[in-house]
Amino acid sequence: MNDSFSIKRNKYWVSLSMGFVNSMEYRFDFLISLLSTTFPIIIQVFVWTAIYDASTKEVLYGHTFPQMMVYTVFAGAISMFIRTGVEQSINRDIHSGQLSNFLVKSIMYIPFRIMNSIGEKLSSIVVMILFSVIASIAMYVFIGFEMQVINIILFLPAIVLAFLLNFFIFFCISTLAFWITEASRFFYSITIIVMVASGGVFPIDIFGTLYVKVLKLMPFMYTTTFPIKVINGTLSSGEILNGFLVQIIWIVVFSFFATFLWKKGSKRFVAVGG
Amino acid sequence: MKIIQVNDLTRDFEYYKKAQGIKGSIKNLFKREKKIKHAVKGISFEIKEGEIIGFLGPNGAGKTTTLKMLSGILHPTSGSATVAGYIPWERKDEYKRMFAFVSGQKTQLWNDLPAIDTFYLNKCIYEIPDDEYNDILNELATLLDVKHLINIQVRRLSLGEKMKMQIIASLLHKPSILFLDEPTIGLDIISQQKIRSFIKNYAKKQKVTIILTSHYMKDIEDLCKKVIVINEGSVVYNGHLKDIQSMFHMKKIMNLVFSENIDFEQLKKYGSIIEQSEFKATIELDVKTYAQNTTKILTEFPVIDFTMEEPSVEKGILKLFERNAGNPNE
Amino acid sequence: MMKILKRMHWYLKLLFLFMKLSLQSQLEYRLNFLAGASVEIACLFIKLVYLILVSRTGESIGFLTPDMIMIFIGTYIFMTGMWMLFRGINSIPSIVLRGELDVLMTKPGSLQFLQTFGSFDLAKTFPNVIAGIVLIIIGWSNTTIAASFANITGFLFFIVCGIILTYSFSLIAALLVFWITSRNAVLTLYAALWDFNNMPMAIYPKTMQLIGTFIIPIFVIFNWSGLFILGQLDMFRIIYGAVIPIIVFVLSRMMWKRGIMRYYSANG
Repeated sequence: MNDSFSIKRNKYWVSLSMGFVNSMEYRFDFLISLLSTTFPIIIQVFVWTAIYDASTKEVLYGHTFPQMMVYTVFAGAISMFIRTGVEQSINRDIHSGQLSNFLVKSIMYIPFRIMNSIGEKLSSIVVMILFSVIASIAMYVFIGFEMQVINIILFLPAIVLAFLLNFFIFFCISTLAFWITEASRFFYSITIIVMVASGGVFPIDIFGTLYVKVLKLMPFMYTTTFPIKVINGTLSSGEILNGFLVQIIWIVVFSFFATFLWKKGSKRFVAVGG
Repeated sequence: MKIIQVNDLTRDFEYYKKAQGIKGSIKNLFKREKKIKHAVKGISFEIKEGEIIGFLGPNGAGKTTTLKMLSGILHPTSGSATVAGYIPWERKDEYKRMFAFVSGQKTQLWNDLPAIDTFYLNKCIYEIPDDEYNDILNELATLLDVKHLINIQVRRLSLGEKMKMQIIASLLHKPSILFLDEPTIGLDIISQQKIRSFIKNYAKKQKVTIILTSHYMKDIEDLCKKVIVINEGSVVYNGHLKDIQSMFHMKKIMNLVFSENIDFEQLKKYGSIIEQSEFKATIELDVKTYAQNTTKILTEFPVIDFTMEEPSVEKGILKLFERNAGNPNE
Repeated sequence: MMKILKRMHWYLKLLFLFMKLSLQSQLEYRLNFLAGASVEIACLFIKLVYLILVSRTGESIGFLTPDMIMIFIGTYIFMTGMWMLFRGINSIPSIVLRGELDVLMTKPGSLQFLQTFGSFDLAKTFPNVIAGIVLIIIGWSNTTIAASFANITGFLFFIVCGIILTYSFSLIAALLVFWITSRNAVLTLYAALWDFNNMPMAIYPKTMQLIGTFIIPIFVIFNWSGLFILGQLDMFRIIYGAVIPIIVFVLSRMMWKRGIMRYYSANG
C-alpha cells in the first residue's frame, strides 16, 4: 500500500522536476525573457503617467492614478504567473503521438499536466515574489500605496485559485486540437485575446460599462482582475470570500468540462490514430 | 592538370558541455565547460581535372567539413587550398559560378513550390540564357526521368525524386566542379542506383571533376577509381580503390533465423560464428567462397529467414590502420 | 557604368522573383497564412487598445491630440508590418543554428541580399501594413494638419528612412546570434524594445527621448514622420533623421560581414 503511493508521488514529482529543468535549460533565454516581461509594465507606467498628468480629471476609468499604477504592475505579474503554456504541451502530445504513452501507462493525464505546469512555474515564482516585493516598496515610496497584511494573506489563495482556473480554461481550449488539427496554430492569438479581455493588460473598465457587465458573468475576470482587486484593497472581506467561492465554482465547472472533453478527445485519438 | 590542391588543411570546432539534472542546470547558468573538436587535422591531397574521387570514411570523420572548406562555406583554422586557381573561402563570384555543392541532407529546393520554380530561380541567379536553360533542363530531366514531376510540389515527391531535382538544380549552370556530399543517404536501393548511373554518365560526357563523399561502399565502388579514406580528421589512404578493395571485402556477414534447434558445431565449418542464440546465428563468411557456402548453408539447415550484410566501413578502416602500422609507407 | 546598371537589374529582378515565390509558397498553406495573420491581428488588438485608452479620455497629452496620436500609432503598426516582412532577416538566428546558410553561401551574388531578401512573410505583413496606413490616413484627416505637397513628401521620406532603419536594426538584432548563441533571446529583447514605440516618444521623459534618439536611434523610426508634419523637428533633427539610417545601415553591413566570418555550420 505504502509502495504504490510513493511510486505515484514519484512520477508526479518527476514531471514537476522535469518542468523545472526544462525551464532552466536555455539560460540566457531564461534571463532575457524574464527581463523583457517587465518592459510592457514599464511602458504602461509611462503611458498612464503621461495620461494622468495631462488630464484634468483625477479618476479615469474608475481608477485613481495610484490605483492604476498598482493595477498595471500587478496585472503584468499575475498574467505572467497564470500563463501555463499547457496548450502547447497538449498539442505537442497529441500531434507527436506521445499521447498514446500516457493512455497506456497508469498515469492520469490531467494531474500530470498540472504538476508539470507547476514545475515550470517554480522558477518564475521566485522571480515573481522578488518582483512583487520590489514593486510594492517602490509604490509605497512613490505613490504612498500601502498594502494591508490581510490583503496579502488573502492574495495567496486568490492567486492559486486563479492559476488553477486559468489552467482548466486553457486545458479545455487545448482539447480543440483533438478535433481540429489546425486549431493549435491559433492558440497564441487566443491566449493574447483572452489575456487582454480578462484585464491582464489594462483594467477592463476601459472597454466600457456594458463590457464589464457581460464579463461579470464569465470566468475570465477571476483569473486576473479578482486577484488584483484583492491586493488592491478595493474589496471588502465579504466580497473577497464571495470571490473565492465564485473562483471555486468556476474551477469545478471547468475541471468537469476538461475531464469530459479529455475523455471524448482521447477516445477519438485512439480511434483515429492521432 | 591538377585542379584541386589541398595543403595541411585543419579545422577545429568549439562546443559547450551540458550538465545533467537540476543541479547541473543551475550550475550551467553561471559556468559552462568549453571543449574543442579537431574535425580536420592537417590533410593534404591533389586532384586532377576530370577525376571522380571518393571520400570514404565513417560518420564524423571530417569528410563533410573538408568539402565545406573547398566550397568556401567554412574557413580553415589553418592550411591552404586552391580549386581551379581560386581560394575557396574568398568566395569570389567567378568561383561560385564554376562549382556546385549538392548535399544529401540540406535542400535548396523550395518545399511548397514545384521544382521548376527553384530551377527558374537558379536560372536568374546564375544568369543562364533562356535557350541554354531550356536545353539543359530538358536534357537533365529526361536523363533522370523526372520530366513529368517538375511541376509537382516538392514536398509531394519521394526522397529519391527530391534528390534528382536537387541534382538538376545544381547542374543547370554547368559547373565544372561538383561536390557531392552523401547524395544517396536515406534513399531506397533503386533510387541509389539510378543516381549513381546518372552521375557516371554525366561525368563521362561533360568534363567535370567530382568529389563524392559517402559512407556507403557501393557509391564509391561504382563511381570512383581513386579514393581518399578519412578517419578522425586525417587521411588514412590516398590511392586507387582496387588496391584496398580487399580490405573492405574480406568477409561477408550472414544473419540466419532457424525454425528449429541446430547443431552449431556443423555451422562452424563454413565460417566463424559471431553471435548465436536459440534460433538465430550470425556468421562471417569468406568473400571468395561465400556464394557456394551460402547455398550449402541454406540447403543443410532449416533456415526460415536470412539477410546478407557488408561489414561496416569502420572495420575496413581498422584493417587499413593495421596494415599501415605494419607497413610504414604512405 | 553598364556594369552597375546590369548589377542593379540583377538585384531588382531577383527581388521581385523572391516576393512572388514567397507569396506563392505561403498561399500553398492557406491555413498557415491565416494563422500567421491571426497572430498579428491579435497583437494588433493590443496595440489598438493603447489607442482606445487615449482616445476615450478625449484629452490631449502635451501637444498631441488623440488624432495625432493615431498617426503615430499608425506609423508604429505600419513599421511593425515592415519588420515582419523581413522573414529573411528574422530567420537568421534559427538558420545559423541549423547550419542552413550553406545553401545560399555557394551561390553568386551578395549573400546578404540573398538571405535578407530571399524570403518574405506576407501573411504577417498585410494586417499591419493595411491597419497602419488606414490609421495614418484617418488620424491625419481628422487633424488640422495640411495635406500639402511638402508635408506628404516629408512624411513619406521619413517613412522610407524608418524602413531602412527597421531593416538595419532588425539585421543587427538577428546577427547578435553569432556572438550570443542563445535561441531568440536577443530577438525577444528587441521585440520588447520595439514595443516601447507603441506610443509617441513624447510621453517618455526627456532623458529617455535623448537615449532613444541619439544612442540607440530606435525612436527615429516611428516618430520622425509624425513630428515632421507637426513642425516639431528643427533643422538639426531633420538632417539627423536623414543621415542616421545610412550610418546604421553601414554598421549593420559591417556586422554582417564579421558575423559571416564567424559562421560555422551546426553539424561541424
